[in-house]
Amino acid sequence: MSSVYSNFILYALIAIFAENAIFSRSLAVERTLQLVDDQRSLLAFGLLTTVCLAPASVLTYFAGKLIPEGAFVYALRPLVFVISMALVYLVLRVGINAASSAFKDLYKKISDDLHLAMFNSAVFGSLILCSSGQFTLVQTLGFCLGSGIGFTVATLYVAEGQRKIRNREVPGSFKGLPVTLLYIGILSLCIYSFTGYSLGN
Amino acid sequence: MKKLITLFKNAAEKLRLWFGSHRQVIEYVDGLLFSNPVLIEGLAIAPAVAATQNLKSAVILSIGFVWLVVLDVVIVRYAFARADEEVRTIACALIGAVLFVPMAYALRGMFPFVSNTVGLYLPIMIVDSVILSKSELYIELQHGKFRMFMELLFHSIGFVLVVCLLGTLRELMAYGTVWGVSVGITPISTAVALPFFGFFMVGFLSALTKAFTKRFYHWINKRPAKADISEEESENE
Repeated sequence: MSSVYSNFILYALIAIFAENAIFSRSLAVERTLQLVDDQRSLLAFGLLTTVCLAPASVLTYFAGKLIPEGAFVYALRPLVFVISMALVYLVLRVGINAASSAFKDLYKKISDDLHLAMFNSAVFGSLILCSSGQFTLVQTLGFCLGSGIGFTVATLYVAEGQRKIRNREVPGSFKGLPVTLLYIGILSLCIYSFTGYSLGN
Repeated sequence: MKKLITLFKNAAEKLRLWFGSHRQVIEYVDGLLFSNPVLIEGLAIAPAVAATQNLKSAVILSIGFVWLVVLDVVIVRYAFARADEEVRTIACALIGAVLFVPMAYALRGMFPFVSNTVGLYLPIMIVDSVILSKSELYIELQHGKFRMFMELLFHSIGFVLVVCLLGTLRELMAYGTVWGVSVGITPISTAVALPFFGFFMVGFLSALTKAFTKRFYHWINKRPAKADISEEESENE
């Protein structure tokens, strides 16, 4: 039992730090850039992405096993996963609509962003990584939850950095997208040094 | 020498006036540079940053982008124009996943190790924001078929140019090769192939493109100098 917990926590930590969705894999950067202006929306979107990843990871783990062994998995896996994500989305939508009367404000926030939180490259990329790495169910669940948390933390970092950069004198051509990408690149470099990669290799 | 300079100045002025009076042409082709999907609009960043480690990967991504994005946007634009945004998002993903299957088989025929070369960065184009944003844009603006086709074509060419440039430069700097063939350049470091360097390269290219765009529009919008006006008036007299 303890090995199950330790496996789960280990893969979650790997997904948050060493294999961060934004800094190590550059997934969902466009979504991050759209959200950086509003920290509350950013946090809500990140948590929503994590909530979407949890059931999607379980369903895609079992759905991936339906692909025949001799088939070209690389071509068929995305279709199977997108269908699974659509099914998870429908279930979540029904559940959220059912709970709408109890949590009206929360419902409005979640309802508008649910489809974007489910169908984005951070979710899809994490699911594909788990499948191609042939993770077990516990590892898949840990990695996907960690990816969602890592994505949320990374977007908060980027938003805070953006807020500080706006108060500095940045050359006109670098304002907006260029300086944000440079900032993300520097944080990505820090993550790589943290994981022990040497630039001299 | 003076004659050459005068000739050049006249040609530049004619070009400036031509651009000024044919702005619709610029609007059709601005996806190439002024509204480049990667460098200006900030779309499809993930494959451009993380998967352009060499020219081969860049070419595979280019084929994937043109096939998936153009077809998916056109299908969603006409088949789901009246649908809800949520339905359109799911439709974009499902249609993209269906289109991906024959494309992946075709790419495996051309590039046997396609899954190792580009990894997850080809499949994630299925859910990339470029497809949804373009289809929403064309539904909202109600562009005609010709204009939509031209804009999609030049946006695709813009993406292809950027990723191929990134792939070539990074392969040269990381491995000293182009398409796996050594060109006699000493590689700097294999770290150039990592995502952080991709962020730096795209960031600098984006700044360069913004600066060029600003200068270009300033150039075509500028009024002729007073000295030139008085010269023209004296010639007319």
